[in-house]
Amino acid sequence: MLEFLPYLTTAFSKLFDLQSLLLAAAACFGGLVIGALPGLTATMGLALLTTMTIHMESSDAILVLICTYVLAIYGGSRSAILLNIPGTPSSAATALDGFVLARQGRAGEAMGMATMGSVFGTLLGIMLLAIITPPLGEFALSFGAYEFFWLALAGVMLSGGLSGNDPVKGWVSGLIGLLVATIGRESSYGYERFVFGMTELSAGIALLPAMVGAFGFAEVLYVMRRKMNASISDASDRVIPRIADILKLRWTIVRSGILGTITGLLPGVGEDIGAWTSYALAKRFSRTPEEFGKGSIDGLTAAETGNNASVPGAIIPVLTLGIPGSGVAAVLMAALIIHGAQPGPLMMTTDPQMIYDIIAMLTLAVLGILVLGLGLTRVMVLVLKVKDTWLMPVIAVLCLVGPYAIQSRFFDIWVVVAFGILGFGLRLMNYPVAPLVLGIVLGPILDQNLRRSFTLADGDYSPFFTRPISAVLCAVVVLMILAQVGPTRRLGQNIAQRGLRAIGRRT
Amino acid sequence: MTPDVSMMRARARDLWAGLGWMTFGAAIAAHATSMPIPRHLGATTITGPGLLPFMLGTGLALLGAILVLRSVRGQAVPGPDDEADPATVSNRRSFAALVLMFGYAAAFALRQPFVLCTVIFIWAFVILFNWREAWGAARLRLVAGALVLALAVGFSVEFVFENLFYVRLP
Repeated sequence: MLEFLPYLTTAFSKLFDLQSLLLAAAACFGGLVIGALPGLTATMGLALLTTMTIHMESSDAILVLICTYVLAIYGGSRSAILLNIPGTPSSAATALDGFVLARQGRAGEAMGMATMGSVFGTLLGIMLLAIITPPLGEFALSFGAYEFFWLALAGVMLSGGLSGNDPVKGWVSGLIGLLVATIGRESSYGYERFVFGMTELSAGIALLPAMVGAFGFAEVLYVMRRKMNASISDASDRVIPRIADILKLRWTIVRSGILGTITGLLPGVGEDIGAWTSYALAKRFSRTPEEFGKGSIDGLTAAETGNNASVPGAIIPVLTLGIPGSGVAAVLMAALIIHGAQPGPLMMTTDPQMIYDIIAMLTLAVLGILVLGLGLTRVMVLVLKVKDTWLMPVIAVLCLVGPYAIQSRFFDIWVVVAFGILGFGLRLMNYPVAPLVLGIVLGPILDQNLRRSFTLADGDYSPFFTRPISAVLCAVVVLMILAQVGPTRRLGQNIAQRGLRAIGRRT
Repeated sequence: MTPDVSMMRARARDLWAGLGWMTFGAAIAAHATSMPIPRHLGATTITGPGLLPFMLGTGLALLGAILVLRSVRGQAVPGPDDEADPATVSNRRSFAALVLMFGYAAAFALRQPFVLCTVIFIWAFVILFNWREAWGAARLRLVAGALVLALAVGFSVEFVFENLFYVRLP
């Protein structure tokens, strides 16, 4: 029953030395700044930091990345509230009510409640991570090639279907990612696919340069496209919330925390969907739904609790299945692999300590949210005054130097540029980029397990559909496709409209 | 941006993009069928190296066809970019940034001196995007400020990567 306690004690004891605490503090501050600045997303920040922590001790590097991840997702709320520009996509729902509150002279109160929502959301997520991960990890040990094939396919389909506003475009993006993963020498027979005589492509496209290109280089181009002159709101009112105010929102926090974690758990879905679903659920249960979008503290807290609860949620499938729950978690997974960890079903047997180390690191990051979030209000207002036109060239330099530093390959610089242009082009045409990256991560899993399954099937393909988990995952994929086919889509829309009308009548 | 204009934009873009994905997907699928199957190593048609690229190419072509069909039927889905006010965005700014970044990447990849390239790149980038907003003495401050930033970044990045990460920069 309590066999996890020694692991947990060891994990926390490892963190309580001066070097780890200083590193965590620096990473928390860096994550807060990355999240708060509208030009820097959590995915981009983490991809850049992975390239810069490559030469660090693995436990220190993972600590830096986890703290940056959590604080970057939280930090997005700062610019959402003060500038009406979400610092990260996951804080878009926060801007709806946060900025209205700031305009009413309640920016401090909004930031205080956003902080508490993020703290409790992350804590709930950590608790669920601790509860779900060990049994899910053991359950995943029973997965075979068939299940991993379907899981990888369902991950790309779910990510494509839910990360943009058009599933077809999301799937196109995911397929391109899967195609990119097929470049280079394949593992079964050593045949070089899509190499066209370029020796640099034999080993395939490296994940980190592709990620930094698609998220970093492309983001610089996208930010420079805007002619933005946002004015910053005043934040001189009380920041630290009253306990009574937090208690009033306890059920919103609990609901959003649980829903955010579950949303994060779904492969490739991510923190932004966690925020939006929590926001919608809070509105559904609110006694004053008409205030949502007009400065509702309830809505703001739900969005912030939901997106931060999605962070531990997105880490659960990384640790148990080797499949990331979001674009940022995909970068984290790549970093874990680079640092010698083996995320996936075998982790529970080969390295259970790593799971508890990550739980301890997440808890330290919660402390970072509380201290820096409530203590650095004035500093963050100053940070938000930095102009994009001064910040972006520095980011561009890091986007090119960071990936080069991993293997000192000049070819990787061109990979960054190519994926930067591809990512920018996709964004201009309203294609989500997260499925592209997930496709690159899941491509090798899908390829190897598909061919292994065919070999094992030996002419009988029924296990693809008759093994229980395979059947469920296959049903998810089929339902996602059917949801886009004419009559089925119309039926779904009718049901959704009836549901919305019913909600409208209730409220 | 009126809904009609954003829908027209989305339809035109989906039509051309859909045709592009169809062509690209078909080309991938055709190329995949030409990949050899190492039967002497026990491979079959469905375990050969071309299977997944063929499936992905076919899938991409099908999705492209769906985009084209939706566009022709007027069922395109406008995205945030279609609904953006053209006065708030400028593709020329992105293009200017791309030219500068591409030039810097090329200089880096062709092993030109790192600090010099970085200083020139950052200085030119800041000046280019702030020049119009500054006048008189403010322009002098801009030029000096951009130089300070460029020198600070150039030397600090070189120091961190070469001395702490042991990465040899050009």
